[in-house]
Parts: sequence; structure tokens; C-alpha cells
Amino acid sequence: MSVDLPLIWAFIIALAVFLYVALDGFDLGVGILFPFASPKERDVMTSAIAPVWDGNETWLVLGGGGLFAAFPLAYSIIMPAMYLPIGLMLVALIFRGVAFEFRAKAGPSGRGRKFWTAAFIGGSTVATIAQGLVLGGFLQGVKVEGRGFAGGFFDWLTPFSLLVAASLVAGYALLGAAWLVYKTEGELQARARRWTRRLAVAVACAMAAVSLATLSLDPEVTKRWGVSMTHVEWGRFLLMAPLPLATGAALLLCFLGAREAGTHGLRAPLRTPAVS
Amino acid sequence: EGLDAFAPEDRPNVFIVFWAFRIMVGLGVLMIALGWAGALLWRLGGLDGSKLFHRAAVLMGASGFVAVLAGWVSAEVGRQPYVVYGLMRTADAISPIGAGEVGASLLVYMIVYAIVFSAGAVYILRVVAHGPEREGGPLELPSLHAPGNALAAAEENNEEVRP
Repeated sequence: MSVDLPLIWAFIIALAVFLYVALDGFDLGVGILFPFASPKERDVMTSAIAPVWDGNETWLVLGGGGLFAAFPLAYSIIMPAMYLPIGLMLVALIFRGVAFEFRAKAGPSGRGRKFWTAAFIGGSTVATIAQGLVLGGFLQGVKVEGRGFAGGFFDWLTPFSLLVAASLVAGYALLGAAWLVYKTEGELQARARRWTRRLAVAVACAMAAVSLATLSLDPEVTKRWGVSMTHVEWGRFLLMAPLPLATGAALLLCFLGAREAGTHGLRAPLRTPAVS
Repeated sequence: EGLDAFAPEDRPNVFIVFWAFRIMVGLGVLMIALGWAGALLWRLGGLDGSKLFHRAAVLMGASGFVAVLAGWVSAEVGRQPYVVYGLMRTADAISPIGAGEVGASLLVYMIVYAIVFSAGAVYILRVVAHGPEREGGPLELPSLHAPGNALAAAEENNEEVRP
């Protein structure tokens, strides 16, 4: 029996990237939401992710390291192609990680605290944008000649990748807001619920926009989906339709689930809460 | 075989490798010596009073860090001119990125590390200057978790967070 090692590794890397997005997504999302919270709320928000953010970030290392070890040729082509966004992401992640500790050590107020709060917000946001740029750049395609990267230094920077980056910021913010709903109580949780509802709508719009934009990337995409700018091939599209429909359903559940505490899932409140 | 047995283009930079390796081993020996001295003083009951030992311990504070750096330098420089020893030369392994871009990113990393390590040093020294929290007495555990546990810090920071 021969074991298809590349397939197994591809699966492991895909799993690692998925877990990274799901887990560090909410850590970065909480950082993205920082500017919209009061100073006291910010301390609670940091406490909500403090125990787990370190471990969550390490899934990225597994993904990147796995790519290097199992697919070195792909690594050697993708890394030079995405040199600037990846470098930017790493610097942002350094600042975000360090800001966790230094914010606390810098005292309750003053210049040091302001600087590290800004570093936390900036690090989280820039890391998210950089990841979106890498994703967008990768989707667009990387120029390859022979066994090497043959494109320019800024190939990844296009309106499409900027759209993907903005959408990723909204997506991670949604994850962060939902994590806060799960982990906090009282007024912060109420705010987080409002954030979640608004962001669910924003992410739905963003996903629709990116999906439509992806159609213009490559004729292969329109062929696979059966949808082009002028004409829909229903036989093909109906096969693929469950994917966007399931996504829409998930966002709808998220929106409904984030209604005020006491109204769970799809059930409407049986009676109005007593007014004190 | 001595160094002469290899062609000049196959040799690494001898000066760097020589001194880096000796720094690493020397610091390692000093660390062991410090440990033994501490154990001896503890046995003889003179640990609290020995100013010389205290000063030595403070001076050796960064020794682990320096030793690790020296070790890595000797390994990386010693491996040259190969990137895979004996099989592939570093010159054959370069990526299609310009020297300007690599230099710029190296500069950025150096600046970032300068900021982060300076701030870190300042905060560590502040904590050291503040001193230990209390003298003597048994440890009181204010929370259900061990003090170093991240969950304990999270609980301590704010009661509003559910565990």
C-alpha cells in the first residue's frame, strides 16, 4: 500500500490554515475592535483573549513550516512573490504580541500605555490586512518561469487584493465580536452583540463582492461555477449553489443568535422582558 | 585533516567561527561554575551574605542569551560556503529577491527589535527595581489556578470574565 504523502500534507496544511483563521481570527478581531471600546472595556477584551492567543497563533507556524518542509518548490515561489505582505504581517504580529504584555506593564495611563495600545490595534489590523493581501495575491496567480518566481515586487498589489484585505478585516472583526459575546457579560456583551449583528451583514456583503470579483480573475473560475458576467449556466451553478447558500445561512444564524440576551437562536422571545 | 586540506573557497571565516565557539563554551563553563558556587554557598549557609556571588549572578544575567547567539553564529558561519554542508553552496540557493529589498527588510527587523527589546528591558528593570511582593510567609493563592497560569492572570484582571 503506498501512502500519498503530498495529499496528506496538503490536507494538514489546509487544516492548519483553517484553524489559524478560525482561532487567531478572533484574537486579531478583538484587536481590530479595540478603537470602538472604552478604556475599561479594553482591559476586559484583552483578558478575554489573553489565555489563548499564543497557542492560536502557532497554527500559522504549522502552516508555514509545513509548506516549507513538504512543498519546498511552492514555498520558494510563493515567498518571494509575497515578500512585502508577509514581512509586513510578521512585523505587525511582533508588535501585536508584545503589546499584550507591555500594555499591562506600562502602567494604567500615560504615554507608554497609549503607545502600546496603538501598537496592539495597529499590529492586529495591519496583520489582518497583510494576510488579506497575501490571499488576494495568491488567488490572482503568481508568475512562474521554469522553477522560479518571475514576477515583479508589487504584483500582489491590485484592487482585488485590497478588496480581499478589507473583507478579511471585517471577517476577523466578526469573529472577535462573536468571541466577546461568548466570553463577556453585561454592557460589553451587549455592545459585542450589536457589533456582531452589524459585522454579519458587512461580511455577507463583502463575501458577495469578493465572489463576484473572483469571477473576473480567470476563465477557469467562470467555467467551474457556471456563472459569468453575462450568462448563468444553471446546470453547473445549481450544483455549486449549496456553498454560497450554506454561507448565507451561517451568517443569518450568527445574526439571529446575536440578538439581545434571552433570545436564543431562532426562537423569538416568548414575552417581553420585565421593565424594572 | 587541517584547514589546509580544503581549498580556500571551501573555507568559512575562521576568525568568527573560532571566537564565537569559544565564547559559547566559555560562558557555558561559567554558568556551570556559577551553579556549583551557588550550591556550595547554599550548603554552607552563606548564600544570603555573599556579595561577590550576587554581583556575579547579576553579571551573568545575559549570559544565556549571549551564549545562544554565539552558538548560532558559529554554526551558521561555520557551515559556509555551503547551505547544505558538502552538497549545496549558498550561492546556488538564493531567491529571486533583490539585495535592496532584503536589506530594507533586515533594517526594518533591526528597528523593530530595537524598539521591542529596549521597551522590554525598561519594563523588566522596573519590575526588578520594584522588588519581590512580600517577605516570608506562606504563599496565598488568590485564585483557583497557580499564580503563573494565564487563566489566573485573566481572572485577576477582571471579575467580569467567565472562566
